[in-house]
Amino acid sequence: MTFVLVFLLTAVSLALLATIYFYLLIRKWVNIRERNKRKKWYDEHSRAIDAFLFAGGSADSFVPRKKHHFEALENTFGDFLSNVRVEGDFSHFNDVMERYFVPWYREQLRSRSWSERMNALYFIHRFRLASMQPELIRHLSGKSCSEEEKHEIFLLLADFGYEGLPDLMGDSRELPTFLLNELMCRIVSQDKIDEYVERFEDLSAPWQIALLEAVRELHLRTDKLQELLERLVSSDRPELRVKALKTLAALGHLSSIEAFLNWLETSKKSGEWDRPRSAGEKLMAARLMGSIRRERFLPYLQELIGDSAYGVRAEAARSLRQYSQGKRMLSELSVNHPDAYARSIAQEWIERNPDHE
Amino acid sequence: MNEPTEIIRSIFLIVNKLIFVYFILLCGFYLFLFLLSYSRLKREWGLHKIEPYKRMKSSSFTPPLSIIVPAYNEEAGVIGTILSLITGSGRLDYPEYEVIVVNDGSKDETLARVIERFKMAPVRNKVHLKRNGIETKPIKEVYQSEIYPYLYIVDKANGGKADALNVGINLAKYPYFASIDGDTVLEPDSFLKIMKPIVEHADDEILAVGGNVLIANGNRSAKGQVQEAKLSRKPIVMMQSIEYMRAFLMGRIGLSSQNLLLVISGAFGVFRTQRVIQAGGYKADTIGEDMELVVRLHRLNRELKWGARIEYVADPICYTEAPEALKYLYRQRTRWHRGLFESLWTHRRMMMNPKYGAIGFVAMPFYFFVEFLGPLVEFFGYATFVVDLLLDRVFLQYAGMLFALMVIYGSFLSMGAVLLEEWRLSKYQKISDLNRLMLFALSEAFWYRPLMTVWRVVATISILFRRRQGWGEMKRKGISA
Repeated sequence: MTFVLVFLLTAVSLALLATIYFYLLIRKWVNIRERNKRKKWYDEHSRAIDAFLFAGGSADSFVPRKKHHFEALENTFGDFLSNVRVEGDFSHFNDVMERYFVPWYREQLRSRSWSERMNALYFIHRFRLASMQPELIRHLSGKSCSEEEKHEIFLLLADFGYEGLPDLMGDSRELPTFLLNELMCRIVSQDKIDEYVERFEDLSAPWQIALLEAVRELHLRTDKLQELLERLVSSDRPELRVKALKTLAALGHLSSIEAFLNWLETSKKSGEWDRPRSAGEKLMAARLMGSIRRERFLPYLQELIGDSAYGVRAEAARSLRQYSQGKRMLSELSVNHPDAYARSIAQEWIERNPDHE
Repeated sequence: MNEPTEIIRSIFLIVNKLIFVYFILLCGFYLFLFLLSYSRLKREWGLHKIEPYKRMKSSSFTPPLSIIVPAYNEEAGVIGTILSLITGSGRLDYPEYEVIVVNDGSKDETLARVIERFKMAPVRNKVHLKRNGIETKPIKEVYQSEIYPYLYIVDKANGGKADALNVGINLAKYPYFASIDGDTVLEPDSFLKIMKPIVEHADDEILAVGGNVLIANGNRSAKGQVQEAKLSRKPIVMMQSIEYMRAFLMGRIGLSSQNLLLVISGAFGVFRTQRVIQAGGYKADTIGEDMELVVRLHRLNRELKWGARIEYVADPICYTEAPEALKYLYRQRTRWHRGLFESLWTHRRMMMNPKYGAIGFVAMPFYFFVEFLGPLVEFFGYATFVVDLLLDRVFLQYAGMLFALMVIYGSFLSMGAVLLEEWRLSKYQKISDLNRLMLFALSEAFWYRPLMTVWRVVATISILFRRRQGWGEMKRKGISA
């Protein structure tokens, strides 16, 4: 009985082994063939392709019809777009894209293979094929559309400036933080930021944070935005306070130094800053005081350099170093500060250059 | 036949049956792992190799990374490793990072070579932080490169690899850190690839991500970069290539899909700095510090209800130099086996403990009964095989068939791993490579597997005598030499 079982298992394993081996053999052979075909086709048309890309020549001699034609062109065109920095006349390029690539990606989006659909989305983004918008929206509601595809499509639609995006996102609004930040950078701009500022309270918490991240990244500035950021410094939500301080530090502007000083004083006296969880807030406040350098901030920085959290001490030292008299102050602190940790970090930052970090 | 012989014969019959049941269970489990990896990698087959990572490459929201490179007597490879991280065309395609090389009291020229090559200057009065009380051996000096300000080397007293990594963790300023070995060579986009699950899939917190490790021997390299991946022609290296493919592409991907992965190779892994600090850093007095940390993270994840995952991704490629001499391979394998035991022993209370869910009921027993005790069972199997033959020739047919099954099934798993490699990586493109892989997979059960079994049995015995080992020195040629 056992013998028969072992025999059967051996036979099944042997069949599986042989199947895998022959499959791999054929795969490798097909791969090599495809690669050679792609190279051959590209080599035959490389002159015409170069002439088309760099001199606006005709694309009639290298019309892509098969998969390996598209693959060869995708990489070349992609590299071309990455390397071209100046604005130019791309109408001939766009014509070819619309005529051959849009139908190709339309077909690829209907593929049963997840990888092929994803690749199509990556290249739609790369070639900015805005005419694919209706297909993308349609694909979103399809059964085969995975989470990864949805995320790609949301970013694509944001790139194309599609107005109905928030409605379309509906339940999928909780994107991973990274993608939400990227998305926000695509939909807000200097022209639109005030609209978002006005609707700030209606946005969900992750969207509010992402909006502040986008403002910091894009260096957006308006009076309404400034007023919002300064108001958020006193928000009930610690995360919003930290992000607002971080954004203000990056923008390097405060409309009222007095109001900020009042906030510093209140935070200190309320005992809120004695809690370990407020380390992030203190760190960002120290950064802001290094970004907007005022004499009246110095006592606060000298206090924060003796904070119990290393990150706060280091940021306070770094901010002090950014003042014109910073090196001298740090030298004094390295000797006179009552806290040994403060003396050490002051000593370290005397020699360090904040711009070098 | 007399009675004592009859009794011995009955005992061996029972032992044979037990070994057979163990073997069948093992085959079933490996098949299950293969199917798990198969379903995941099949989906990714054909995905573009570059486009998916472009957004992360250009985004300022990609989390910055501290790369920690512990180095002990790595004078041959350390410059190549650093070059593969920071310079010229080999510069990592990662938006923001720092490189912290930790010289663990090397007796050779590791420190001097790095100082000279990268113009390292001492950072005066550096405050040495002990985050969450992580103690290390004394730091002599921290140097920063004048050419690449994001490159540091810490010179410290010898304390072992875990201690060196802890020094790096104490110094790391970014939210994630990567640990790589001093002889590891990366591809330019390795870090983008390994960070992708952390950045783009935020359903659960990710504590750590492991990356794929390939064998560098045989490759054509220049300036710290692998120019062409080639299979080594040396049988001992070839077998290790197959072993790595099987372990990484099949074992680790399969296990990680169920959040059961207990090992992230010390050669290449990324960790969430804050969580590792919370866990107390690497355990300094252990050999398998990489596995021990991962097991501890799993343990805390359950105990403190972080709800986090430990991931493994198939494609972040890094290359490491495999031992070519039996002497060094033996040292490496006995060190690994001892490390495996130490991690399991340290966290033995997780075994079959319902508090730790599938980690306690599947992962820990798998690593204990299959990875640790497996060689003993196998060794016993070989021994009974010989005794069977001596006692009664009736067994010959049965034993022969069982051995044939072992050869064929082992080869099937190896070729299965090659299939996964083809789908996800396609590093070895020649048909002759495939044929050599097949040939060596078939030969494994005749020489390589028995060799590994014997070595690991020796390691198990030496564990009983508690003889200690250090870094496991190996004569390196240097990958980028």
